[in-house]
Order: sequence, then C-alpha cells, then structure tokens
Amino acid sequence: MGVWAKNSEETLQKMAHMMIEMVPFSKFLSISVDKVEHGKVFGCIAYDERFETEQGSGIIHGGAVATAIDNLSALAALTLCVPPQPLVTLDLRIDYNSAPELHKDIYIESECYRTTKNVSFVRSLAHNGDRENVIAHSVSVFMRAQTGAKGVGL
Amino acid sequence: MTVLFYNDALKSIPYAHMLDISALEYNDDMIFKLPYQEPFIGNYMIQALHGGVLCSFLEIIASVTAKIDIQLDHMPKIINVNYNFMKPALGGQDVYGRAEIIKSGKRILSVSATAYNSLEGNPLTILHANFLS
Repeated sequence: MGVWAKNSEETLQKMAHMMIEMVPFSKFLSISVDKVEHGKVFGCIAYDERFETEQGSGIIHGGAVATAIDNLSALAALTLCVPPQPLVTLDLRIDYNSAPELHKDIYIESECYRTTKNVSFVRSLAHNGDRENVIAHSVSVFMRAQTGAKGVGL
Repeated sequence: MTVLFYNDALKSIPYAHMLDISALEYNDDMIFKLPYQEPFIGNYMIQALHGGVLCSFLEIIASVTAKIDIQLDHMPKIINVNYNFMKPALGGQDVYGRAEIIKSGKRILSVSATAYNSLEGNPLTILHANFLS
C-alpha cells in the first residue's frame, strides 16, 4: 500500500453505511450521513422531542450533538485509513459557540486534517444550515488500532 | 431527601429520561446510574458502549449537579467541554458517574464528572466543562 493509496469511492460509501447501520446508538439517535469524501463528512442529527434539554424548549441536548460529532468525526478519520481499521476516540473537545435555532435539525461537517501512523486529528463544526452561524466547534483525536488487530471487515 | 431534588431535575430533561439516568445516594455521596441498554452499543466487535452515550451521561450529570449544588432555578448553559476517554465501557454493564464542582464563580461554573463501571474501578471517561450560570 503506497503513501498515496486512497480508499475507493465504493469503500467510502460502505464506510458511511456501516458507521450508521452497524452502530446501534447512532441509529437510536437517527444520525445520518449526507455526503462522504476523502477526509470529509457531511452529516445531520434530526430534531426530536426526546432529545430536548427541557420539555418544550426546542433545543437538542448537547450530549446528543456530542454523539453526532463523535460519530461523524470518527467516520472522517476512517475515510483516510487505508486499509480501513478500527478507531478509538482519545479526546473530544467541543465549544458551544451559540444557541441553536429552535426545533431545527443540526448539520455537522467533519474534516480529518492530519493522519499519522497512530493517531488521526479531526475538526468539526455544527450549524443549522448556515455555515456562518456556527453552533459548535469541535476538535478530536482518534487512535488507530494497532496493525494486526482485527479489521473492520471491508 | 436531596436525592429527590436530583431526580426531579433529571426528570425535567427529556434526553435524560430517554437514557433512563437516575440519581442515588451511596455512602453519603450522590452518584448517578446509567442502566445498560442494547441500543447504547457503539462497536459490535468489542461490544463497547458508544462514546456518545458516555458524553451524554456526563454532560447531563454535570449540569444537574451544577443546578442543584448552586441552587439555580434553571439549567446552566454549557460553554465548552472536554472529554477524555480512558477505557472502553463494556456492554452488558451499568455505568455509574460522579460529578463535582471545581469552582463556582459569579458567572462561570467549572465542573468535572467521571464515569465508572464500578465505583472502585478505573475511570472510563472524564468530563471537564465550563457552564454559564
């Protein structure tokens, strides 16, 4: 596998499918992936009354947003792993920049900006559809599984 | 008595209700419990809980602890949060958590919370967050 080896388009789609369908908790929160590219992922967490911070507040709880960010950041890091391998979250930092618009879905964009042999670094932002009004900004670090560990089956 | 206040605060959060989080007293200490549910799994291969479950659990217990301990009449607003993942939470086991206020200023509350599989065991995830009271 050369330095410039890339995962095929088909593998990327499979990864996106797996990250949602094979992860019970992201299905539970109905997190979706809209678009997946090399190192970049666009996803969404749909508004649901059950995720509210307070009854009738119309605001999705920070914990649910954190889950979506964690999940989509991991997928962004995975797209640059050749061959695909399991990833473990080491550290996740989120800054909540502004309150979200009420009763609205939250869109998340994740970008893996650096990958080394052992770790991947990802930054993400969350917004209500307008990239200029950021709800949350996040930086996360993922550990790549040791070589020889069980693959992810792609 | 105080356990009632914590549970009332938890009841006011639909997301905490969905995850079935409860408060209980243990050796004069307030601890929180997240009972295991199958949809919490994040990785089938190693049967570990999703990191997001622990993030959600810790953020909820940190905000509830801040609200009750400082006697706020509303939930504090989260400003920023940092999660450190130490160890995977294995499936089939309940998760327990403790939260502590590190500093409460006029406007800013600094809170830390830790999740465990058993209270004598090693921490699974540690949260450190700042809230606006």
